[in-house]
Amino acid sequence: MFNDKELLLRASKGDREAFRMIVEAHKDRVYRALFGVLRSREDALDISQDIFLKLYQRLPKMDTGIHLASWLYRVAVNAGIDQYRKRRREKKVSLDESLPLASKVDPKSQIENKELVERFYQALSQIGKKHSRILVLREIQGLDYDSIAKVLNCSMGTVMSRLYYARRKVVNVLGDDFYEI
Amino acid sequence: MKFRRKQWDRRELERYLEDTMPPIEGSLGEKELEENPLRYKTARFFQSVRLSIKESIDREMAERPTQYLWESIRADLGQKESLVSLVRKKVLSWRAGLVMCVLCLMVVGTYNFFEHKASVNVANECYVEYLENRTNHVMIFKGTDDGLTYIWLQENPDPVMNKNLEDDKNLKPIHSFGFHSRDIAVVKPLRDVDFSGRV
Repeated sequence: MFNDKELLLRASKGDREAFRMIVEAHKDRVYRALFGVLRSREDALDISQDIFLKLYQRLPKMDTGIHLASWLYRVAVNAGIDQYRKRRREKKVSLDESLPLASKVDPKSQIENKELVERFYQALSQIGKKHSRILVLREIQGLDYDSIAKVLNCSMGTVMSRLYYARRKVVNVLGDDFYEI
Repeated sequence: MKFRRKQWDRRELERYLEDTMPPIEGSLGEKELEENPLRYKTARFFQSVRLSIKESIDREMAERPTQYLWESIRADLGQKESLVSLVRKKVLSWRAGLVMCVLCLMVVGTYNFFEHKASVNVANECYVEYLENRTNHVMIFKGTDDGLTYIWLQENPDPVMNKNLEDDKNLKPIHSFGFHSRDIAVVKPLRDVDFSGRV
């Protein structure tokens, strides 16, 4: 079994099979990151493909010592946030598009959760990219602090601090609604 | 749209914090819960969001949406590579053509250079001066081979006159200067010719 470094090295020399193995190993992670933000299969698949094509184009110049999973995660989250904001600006996302959630609970709670999540996503598009990115990693992707620090290439203290301010911003954006929850 | 207040099991939340967060975050979360009810609410909100989103993503992933991602990437790469190879072929043929053009230019240029160089050499070895006043145009040519100085004299350089002169078969053309000379004389060396007065 090859590790990412070996695969990157081989792929950068033009080994198509090595690149296929990279895609197969990371496609679910990238898709998951994108779908979590975009909530659209079509968009998530399109951007996943773009990200891997971007990786392929960068292979000859790429530092094979990078942590590939973190790089892909970071690129995916950034691309997802950019696309989500773009869609928000174009007002393509509405409450109706939000996903059905929490199937294990009763329908009433499902609706509540759906609204809750939609509020969260709305707030996400209204705070800065730095904070929305860390909230995506923590609240949508469910990464722990250590993984977030690796993805963002910062210390755990920075992650904690940023998360604190990001959450506070969301609460501020939600305003009175937050206290009604 | 307002959300209805919902009762949460605090022990459940604490267990969640302990289970899913690194110790430092868990302890921070617990500390915040003890000290600040608002933080408790915030944590509760985000916990709910996180669980709801996680469930939806897990459900999506269960359908294996990325099953054919590699195939579409490969197809895209194939298209791009065929395009790149086409461009490369074109570039290569352009390059070959360009090299041929450069070679041709070099050959022609070299030939022309030596040809031109020959004439330049001749010109450099001569001294040519053109003088004019109201009534006469004079061209002085100092040859190197015979060491003599030739003077072409053209009187009445009026265009109408010149036209008439062109009809004169006795005139000898000086093609490089575009006018005709009536008299060609071999005179003394140039240094001895006095141009201050009449020619």
